[in-house]
Amino acid sequence: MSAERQPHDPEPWPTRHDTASSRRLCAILMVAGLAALLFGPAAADADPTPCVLLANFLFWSGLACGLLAWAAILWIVRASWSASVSRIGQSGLAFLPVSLALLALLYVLRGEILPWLRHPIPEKAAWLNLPFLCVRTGGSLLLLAIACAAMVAANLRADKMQQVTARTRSLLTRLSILVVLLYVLAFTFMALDLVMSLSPRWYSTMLPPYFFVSNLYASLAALILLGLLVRRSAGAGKYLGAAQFRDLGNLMLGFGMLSIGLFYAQFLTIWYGNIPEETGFIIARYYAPAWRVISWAAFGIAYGLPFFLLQSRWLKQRPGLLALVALVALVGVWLERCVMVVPSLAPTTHWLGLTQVIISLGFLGAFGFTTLAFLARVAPASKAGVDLELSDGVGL
Amino acid sequence: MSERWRITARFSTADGLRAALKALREAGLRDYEVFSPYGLIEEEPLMARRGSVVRAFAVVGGLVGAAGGFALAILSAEIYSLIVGGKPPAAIIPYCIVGFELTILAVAIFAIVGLVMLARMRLTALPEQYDPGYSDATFGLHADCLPEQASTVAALLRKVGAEEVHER
Repeated sequence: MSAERQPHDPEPWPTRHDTASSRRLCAILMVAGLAALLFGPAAADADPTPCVLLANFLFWSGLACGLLAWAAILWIVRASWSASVSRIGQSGLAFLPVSLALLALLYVLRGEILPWLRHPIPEKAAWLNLPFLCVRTGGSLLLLAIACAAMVAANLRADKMQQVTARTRSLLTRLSILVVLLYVLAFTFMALDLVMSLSPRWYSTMLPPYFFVSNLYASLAALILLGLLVRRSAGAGKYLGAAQFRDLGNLMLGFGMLSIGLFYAQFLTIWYGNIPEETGFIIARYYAPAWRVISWAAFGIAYGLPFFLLQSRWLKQRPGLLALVALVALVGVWLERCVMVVPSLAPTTHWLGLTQVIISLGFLGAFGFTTLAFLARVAPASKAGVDLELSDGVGL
Repeated sequence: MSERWRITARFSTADGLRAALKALREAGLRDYEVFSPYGLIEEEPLMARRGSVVRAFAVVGGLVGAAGGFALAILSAEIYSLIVGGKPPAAIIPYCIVGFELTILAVAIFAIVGLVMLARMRLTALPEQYDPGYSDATFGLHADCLPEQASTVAALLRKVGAEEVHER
C-alpha cells in the first residue's frame, strides 16, 4: 500500500472532528424519513414500503458492518497508513443499534417480506422456519455487534490511556479476527434469509460471497465519503491525505473487480445450466422488461462506471473527485440492493415513489448522523493506529 | 535552434536534489536529467519526463488481446459449428472468459516487450559528465538551458545546496 508517509507532528495527537453542520443536515433527513414512514400515503394496491425498508436495511447495515470489518482488516494486516481511516471505520458501530432496531421492525413485518411464511415449502422446512431464521440471522448480527463494540471499546480505552500495551495489541488482533469471521457469517445468513429466501425456490451458492464482498466494496466508498467530510477537521489532515485517499481508491478498484467477478461467476453458471429453478431470479431482473433497464443500470453505476474512472491515478489523488466516484458507486449499490429484493416481492408494483425515496433519504440521514456523531466524540486517529504508523507496522 | 548549455550539479542527499528540482521547476526549467544511486519514488512528480510509455504498450496489448480472444472464440464456433448445450454459437457471456484471459496474456506480453524496448538495455556509453559517484552515494542533476540563463541556474543550484556546480 502507500509508500508515502504523512509528516508527523511532534505531538501526534489530533483534536476532534467538527461535524456539527453535516449532522444538522442528516438530522433533517432523518426526521423527514421517519415522517414519510409513519405518515406517508400508502399505495393503492400493494404497498412497496416493506420492500424498501428491507432493501435499506440490507444496504445501510451492510455499510455499517462493512466499515467495522475494514477497521478490523486494516488492523489485522497492520496497515500503517490507516490510523485515521480505521477510526472512520469504527464509526459504523454507532449505526448498529439502528440496524438491530430495523431487524426487529422487519420481524414485525415478516408476513409481508417472507413469502414462504404464507406458502410453506415442506422440503425446505428444516431451513426455512421462523425460529431458526431468527436465531441464525438475528443471533449472528447481535454477536457481530457485540464483537465490534468490544473492538471499538479496546481502541477507545487505548486512546484514553494514551498507551497501547502488548496486551491491548493482542486483544485488538483477536477481536479483529473475530469481527471479520462474524461479519462473513452474519452476511452469509442475511443473503440466504433476507435475499435468497424471498424467492424460496431459487438457490445460488455464489450469492452470499457476492453479497458480503460487494458490501465491503460499498463500505470503501462510504469510507472515502466520510473521510472527505471529516478531513478538514483540525488535526485530521496529516493522517488523511492524498496518499490515503489513493490507497482507498485502489482498494475500491480491486474490490469492485472482485464483486464483478463474483457476479459474473454466478450469472455464467446460471446462464449455462439453464435450470428453471435457477434462472427465474435472473430472468425477473435482467431479462424481463419491467426490471431489465434498472437492473443493468444499477450494475453499470455500481461497478462499471467506477471501474473505468478508478483507473486514473490522477483522479484517485483528488479526494473531491474520488468522493464523487464513491457517491456514484454507493447509489449504484443501493439500487442493486433494491433490485435484489423488490422484484421478488412486488414484481409489477411501481416500487419507488416519493414516499420510498424520502424513507431512503431518512436512512441516509440516520447513517450520517450516527457515524458523524461518533466521529465528533473521538480523536480522528486511534492511538493504536498512530502507534502502528509511527512504527511502520514493525514489531507490532 | 540556439546553443544549449549544460549545468551539472552534485548533491550528497536526496533532500538537496529534491530542493533543486523544485527550484528549477519554479524557475520554469524543464530540460534536465537526474541521476541517483536508488529509485526516487517521491521525486517522480518533479522529473522532467513524467510516467512511462510502457503503460501505452499495456493498453494496446489489452485491446488487441480482448479483440483477439473474442474473435478466436466466436470464429472457432462459427467455422466449426460448435453448438454447446443448445446455446447460440456466438455466445458472448461465456466467451468473456476467453476474452479476459487473452487480454491479460497480451497485456503481459506487450508490457514486457515495451519494458525491454524502453529500458535502454543496449546502452553502451554513459552520458557525458557522468560521475561514478551517481552509482554510489551522490545524486546528480544535469540541466540544459540557454547560455544567458546559465549563471542564474548555476547560482540557483548552489543556493539550494549543491556541493559542486559546473557550467559547460
